[in-house]
Amino acid sequence: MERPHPDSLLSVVKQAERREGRGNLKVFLGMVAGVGKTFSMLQRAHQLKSQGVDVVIGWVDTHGRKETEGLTAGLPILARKTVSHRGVSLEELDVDAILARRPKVVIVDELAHTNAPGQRHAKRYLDVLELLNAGIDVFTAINVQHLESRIDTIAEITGVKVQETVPDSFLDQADEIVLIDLPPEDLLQRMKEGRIYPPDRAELAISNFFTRGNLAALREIALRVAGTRADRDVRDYKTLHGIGDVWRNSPRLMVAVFGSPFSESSIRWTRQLAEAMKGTWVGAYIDTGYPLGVEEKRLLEKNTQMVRELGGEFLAVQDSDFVDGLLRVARQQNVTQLIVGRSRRNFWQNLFSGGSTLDRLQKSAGAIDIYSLSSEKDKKGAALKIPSRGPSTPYPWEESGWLLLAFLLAALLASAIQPYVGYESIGIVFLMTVTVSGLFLSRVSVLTLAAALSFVHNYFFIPPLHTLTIGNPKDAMMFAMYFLAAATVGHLTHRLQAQKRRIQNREDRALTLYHLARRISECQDLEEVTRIGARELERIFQAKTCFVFFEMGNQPKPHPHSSYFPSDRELGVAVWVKENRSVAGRFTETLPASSGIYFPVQSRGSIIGVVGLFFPPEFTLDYERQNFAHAVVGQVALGLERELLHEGRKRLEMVGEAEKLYRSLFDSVSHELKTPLTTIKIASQELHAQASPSSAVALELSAQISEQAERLLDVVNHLLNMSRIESGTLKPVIQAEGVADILGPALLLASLNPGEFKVTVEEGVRDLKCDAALVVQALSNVLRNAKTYAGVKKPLEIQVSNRGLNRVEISVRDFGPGLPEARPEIIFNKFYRVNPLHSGGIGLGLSIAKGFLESQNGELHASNMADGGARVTIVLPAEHS
Amino acid sequence: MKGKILVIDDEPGLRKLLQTTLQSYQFEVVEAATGKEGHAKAIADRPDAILLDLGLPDGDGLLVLEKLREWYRNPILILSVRDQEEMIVQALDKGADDYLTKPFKINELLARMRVAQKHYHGTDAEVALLLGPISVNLESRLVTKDGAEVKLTATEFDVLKTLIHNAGKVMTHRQLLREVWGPNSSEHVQYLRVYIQHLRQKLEQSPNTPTLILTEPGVGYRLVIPSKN
Repeated sequence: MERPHPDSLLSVVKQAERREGRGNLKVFLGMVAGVGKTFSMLQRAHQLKSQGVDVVIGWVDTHGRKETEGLTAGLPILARKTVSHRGVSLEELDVDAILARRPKVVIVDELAHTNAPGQRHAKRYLDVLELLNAGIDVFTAINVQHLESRIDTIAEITGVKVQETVPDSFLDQADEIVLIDLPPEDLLQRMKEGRIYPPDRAELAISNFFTRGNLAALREIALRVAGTRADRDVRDYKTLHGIGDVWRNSPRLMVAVFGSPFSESSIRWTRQLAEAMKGTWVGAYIDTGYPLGVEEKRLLEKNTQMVRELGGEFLAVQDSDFVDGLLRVARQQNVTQLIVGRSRRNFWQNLFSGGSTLDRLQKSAGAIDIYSLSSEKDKKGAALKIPSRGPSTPYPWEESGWLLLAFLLAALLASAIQPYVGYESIGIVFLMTVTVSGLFLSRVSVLTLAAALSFVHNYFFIPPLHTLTIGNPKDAMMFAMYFLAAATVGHLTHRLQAQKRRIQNREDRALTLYHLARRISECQDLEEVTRIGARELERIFQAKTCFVFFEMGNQPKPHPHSSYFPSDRELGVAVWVKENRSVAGRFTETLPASSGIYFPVQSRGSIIGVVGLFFPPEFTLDYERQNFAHAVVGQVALGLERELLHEGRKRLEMVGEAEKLYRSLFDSVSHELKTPLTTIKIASQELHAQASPSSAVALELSAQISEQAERLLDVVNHLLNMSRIESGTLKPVIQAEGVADILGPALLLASLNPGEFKVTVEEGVRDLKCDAALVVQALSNVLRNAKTYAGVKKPLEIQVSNRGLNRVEISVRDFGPGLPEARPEIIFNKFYRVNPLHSGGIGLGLSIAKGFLESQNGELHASNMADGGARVTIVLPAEHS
Repeated sequence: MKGKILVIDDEPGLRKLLQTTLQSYQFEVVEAATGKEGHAKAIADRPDAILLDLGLPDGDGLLVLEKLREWYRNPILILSVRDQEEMIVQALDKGADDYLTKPFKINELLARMRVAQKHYHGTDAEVALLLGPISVNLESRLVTKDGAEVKLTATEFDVLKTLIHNAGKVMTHRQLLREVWGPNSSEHVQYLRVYIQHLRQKLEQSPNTPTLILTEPGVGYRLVIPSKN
């Protein structure tokens, strides 16, 4: 039994998960009205009810059909909601009533129904979705003509374009689809009997819509919809249960893809066949490790591309045996038809591999149909070449010495012992030599040795001596047996060796990965991971490497530890890889003309960077090695991810520390400066209050102390507020506030006396959405500033009005000298003072006001007035009334 | 001797200042530098009022307040600094009577203390009273402004009545809501804002720069008793 592929298993499990906690959706699908969907639905409901399940009817239209009406009896029917639309009262499904009632199962007929305007959902299927999400099981019914994907087809057939549709994705969510099928004849019969429509309407319906042809077409569509769905269920089931054998349902074709010009025609042919059979198809390339030439590689890429363009899926799989690999994929993919080009192999190949590829395929295909296509040698001038197993490496000439040595030793040994054991046993000696040599020598050498020794055996040992004829039939048979045994043993030992090599390869790779993981886990920081990663990649692949990281705005930046620095054009490939999260460049199907192959370095779903490998020009990277490269890059990515996380955490800790330090500094400075000043201020005020009215000096001096303490306190408060703004620790608490809630306290805080200002508030001004405490401070700063620099000989004009639809502005107009003409808003700059000689203030009041306002989506503006003086305007968001 | 006041503040300078000043107004002053000491002295000396600094070193001033309020019935006034509105509201909701933001004026402190004490000595608000040009009869629910009757809705009147019962004292939103709408309605701050706006429209001379019902930004509302002269 095959084990299910993790990915396919995952997708099924995910789907199941998505449904967890959700109600079950059962859809009764019919080809047309009158087939008995509602009837079946109600029947099923009665069954459930008899089992004690809480079933209610949310919506059922019986269309006056007697049998159906009878079935609604005994099931609780929820009241419908009556809505009125343009004077017409309509009935709708009462979703809230169902949610409140919380039945186990609710029946909602007429899935495609469009709700009256003003309902919660525009369509009934959305109502159903809500019920499902609330954990209620739903039975519902729909005719195939309402399925979105089918309306065009059906319009063509019947001439009727349906307006009320349900998206196919909704049907995909159904846990079960029940097809209510009725042969057209029976349906027409029922129709004529008036069991579907009243007789007068039935007549009309039969001649217009319910023609036999229409019905047959609709029925086929309904069957196909249900069938596609059933097919998917089967595939899910198989994935979950690891069933490797093919279940026959809708056809799925697979074509073997090669780096050969003949693949093209078989791909086209497969596509046509798939279309004719109304099935799906895949193209599969089996990488046997057989090295491809330049032309073959180009063709393979072209053919791969073609599979995709023609709408097939493409898969590349590794297997040292073509036939095994192909069948393995075919079973995993539920393939029913397998298409291969017919191979041209000679007798010996067939003999050693246990038959031609086609024979072997047919022998082990089981339930899968095999189609073989002729390779059309005459037309194209080249044979379809199917790599059978393992790479056919060129003959290793350094072996010939060992071959000669083995031959001579065997011959010498044979002539030495022949007098004692007789010529018959020499065959055994030679056979042993061939067998042993198979462990060390290549297949060609072993077969050569076997041939050479059999010649020696025949010529020098088997009578008649010194001829190649064999007199004795017994000897002839022994000779033949010897030769066959030698050839077979040689071949088998060689195969064993190849297998050993493969295992060793795999072990080497696992070991390499292990060492790499260890080296990387020992790294201390990001720099080291990059450096070691680059060095190890170079060592493992004998290639130059480049780590590309990305700066703001997707700018690729090769890391200095790279050993190769690609051109800007090449770096474009890296950007592609980052954006598409898949490998690209040389040896791949994307941007193959690049000089390097680029792998994405991913961490938890996001791209950290890209690694490029640059091989010498003549090098080829087969699928297996590409996969290995993926694994190696993945290992490096893990290291990078770890260090990145670590650095992020360190940075966060540092920021946290800085913030804590800032806060405690802020608090202690605030405390240490303000406490004594506060005490001085209270004391001097009290001193002033209690000073004897006759002591002018005491009165004056205490007033001075109080005033100067106040000034210092202002400076301290301003500096602290400024640092609150700049450190970003300001956290406004936004609430709705009335104008009076701002103006009153601000005027008080600015210590303006009644005659010094004039307030005009626009009628119907909206409330503000702001942090009252901050706005009060901002406004009072503005007022104090105006009072200080412009004076209040003429009262300040405070105006509050709506500004546009969702802002309110508070402007303060003074009648002083005005602001610097060129740039009035320069007054908001930190430490800016109109007249530096003017005592008082350090030029922070207005910048603090601006900071406070901007922290809560407000604005502060300043301008000169045409008739003298300046205006400072606060703009704040308005509360929606 | 007018009474005994306990000052709980970690600043010796301020304690000294308050002691000197308050003594000059014939109060007896007891000092405590920490919350713990303050609590002990509150038990030992039974002060007539407590001034409590919110920024105490040995733990939250709020905690001290909570512990005191388990048994202590006399006024507690909070001393705070600017930008502590959130804490002030918590303190008021936990039973502090009023608050002062440093630097405060001594006569301000005395006025607040007077209001708080008056309340605690249980003098019921007069049935009829004058708030400048406004006269309110709590029994007949008649409100006049400059002699003309002002029509208030039942809720508006209840809000006004609550403010009058606590005249001179700050009321947090929550306290007002609880008084007027009952214990479970402390969520609807926006209602309250609207009623206060209506009251100002009907009672204030210039509703946008109120002098009767003041807003304390971020804290609540205070009904000011106009000075007698």
